[in-house]
Amino acid sequence: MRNRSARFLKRWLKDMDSDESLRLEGTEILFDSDLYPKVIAGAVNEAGAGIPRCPLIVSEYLDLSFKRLSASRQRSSRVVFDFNRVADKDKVIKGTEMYLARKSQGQEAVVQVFFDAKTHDFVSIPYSSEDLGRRAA
Amino acid sequence: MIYLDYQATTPLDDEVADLVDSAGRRFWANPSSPHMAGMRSQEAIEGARRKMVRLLGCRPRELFFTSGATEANNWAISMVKASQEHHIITTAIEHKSMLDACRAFQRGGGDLTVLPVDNKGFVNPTEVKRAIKPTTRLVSVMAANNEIGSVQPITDIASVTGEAGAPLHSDATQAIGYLIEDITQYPADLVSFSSHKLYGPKGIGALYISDKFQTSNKGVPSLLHGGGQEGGKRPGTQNLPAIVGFAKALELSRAALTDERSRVKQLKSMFLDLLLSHHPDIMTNSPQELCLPNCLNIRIPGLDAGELMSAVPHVAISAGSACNSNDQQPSHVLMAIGLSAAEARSSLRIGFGRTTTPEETRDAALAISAAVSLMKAS
Repeated sequence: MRNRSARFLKRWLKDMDSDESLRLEGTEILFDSDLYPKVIAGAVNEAGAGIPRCPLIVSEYLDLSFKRLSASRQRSSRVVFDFNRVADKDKVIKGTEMYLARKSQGQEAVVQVFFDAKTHDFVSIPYSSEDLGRRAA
Repeated sequence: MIYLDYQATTPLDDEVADLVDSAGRRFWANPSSPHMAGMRSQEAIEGARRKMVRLLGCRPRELFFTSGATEANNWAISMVKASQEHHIITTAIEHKSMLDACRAFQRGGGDLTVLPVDNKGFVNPTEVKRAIKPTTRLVSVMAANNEIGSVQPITDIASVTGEAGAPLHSDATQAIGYLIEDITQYPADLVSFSSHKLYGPKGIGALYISDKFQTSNKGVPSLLHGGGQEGGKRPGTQNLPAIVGFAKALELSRAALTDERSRVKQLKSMFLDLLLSHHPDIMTNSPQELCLPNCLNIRIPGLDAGELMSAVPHVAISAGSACNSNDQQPSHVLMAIGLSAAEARSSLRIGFGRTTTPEETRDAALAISAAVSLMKAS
């Protein structure tokens, strides 16, 4: 998934207009988030190569998951339940927003389930393309 | 006590109060904390937001929680940088929180136009058109007035602002419970409103900022500085119990919207008819049409409203906006519709609401009527 994300950044750095929700600020590639004041999608190293950060990797992982789902019979509306550790909360929510805002084609939802393996305690937070999808121009 | 001051505030609904209480006990952890308890709090807030956006027809990222409508109004005005190159238009009958924020903008060097209203409190869209300049950055017109109830021709005003490319803000604090259902169909780019006018808790309100406004302005500047709450646009640990209560209050108000609208309108007519049958010289400052269904402002020639209120201590009515009640000045709204200071001082605001019964309405009208007779005789 890291390689897939790095390939995406390589393409984006050649054509930044291809995804206007991202912008380069110094060496940081930032995502324009509605949920967080700052989301770092990646960084550019001294050689000029894009290094993906966790939110972008999560976004790419969801992109792949939804592509697999679309290839299956379930074509109308699709939901991914994603189980995570509590400690990963912000990076997976950031990645979920990055996917739904940038890539979702609509009628998609991600339910982030934060799970404590020791206590079996969990909290689930739903996010949908309807809520986080692209803004009308 | 007979409570007839629903423009000032509404009593907290019992069901909402229970929910606020239980939310405060269950979800006490900081919603921003990275642990299970914190996430439960976060999900309680987001669940409330989802409920509200479903009811209002907007998207979660368009709804920002604030401490109330005053903050929301101040936030909207703060989005325009105070300078002579930036112009704001507002009206003479806005709530104090809007007018004072606009005056602060003007003191900071901003260009401000305060439009007059007619004798029933209506803004003329042609006046708005005439006032717009190439430098106009915001037009703010309230949805419905909190003292006399006039409902502004927002659709016509929005046509004018839309043509000029000037964003429109509207303080819908009084209107949200009766007149506005789908907020995306209400033609303003920014809308302020508050929970405590909807039988919800105090200390919580919201600013709706349309996607269109956010896109054309490349983001939203925040009023406060601090943490990352509300996407960093409204920092500060969220008032979770109040947010949960706000959502419930909105839900309850929507469930009975149509029935309640006609019920309070009937109570208002009944009250006025009864009062006029005893004192035909009483005049209405509120418009007959295009008025909030639950708001009535009357003028009793020759009587002091304060003295009349003292004569009927068991009836909770008001001489104007609660937010202005310590000003010792005649109401700016009544002065703006052309009343003299003496006429403004003889005016009363009566507000009807969910708990008002026909019996209470009759008793209050009779009590006020008797007090007027006594005062006139003395």
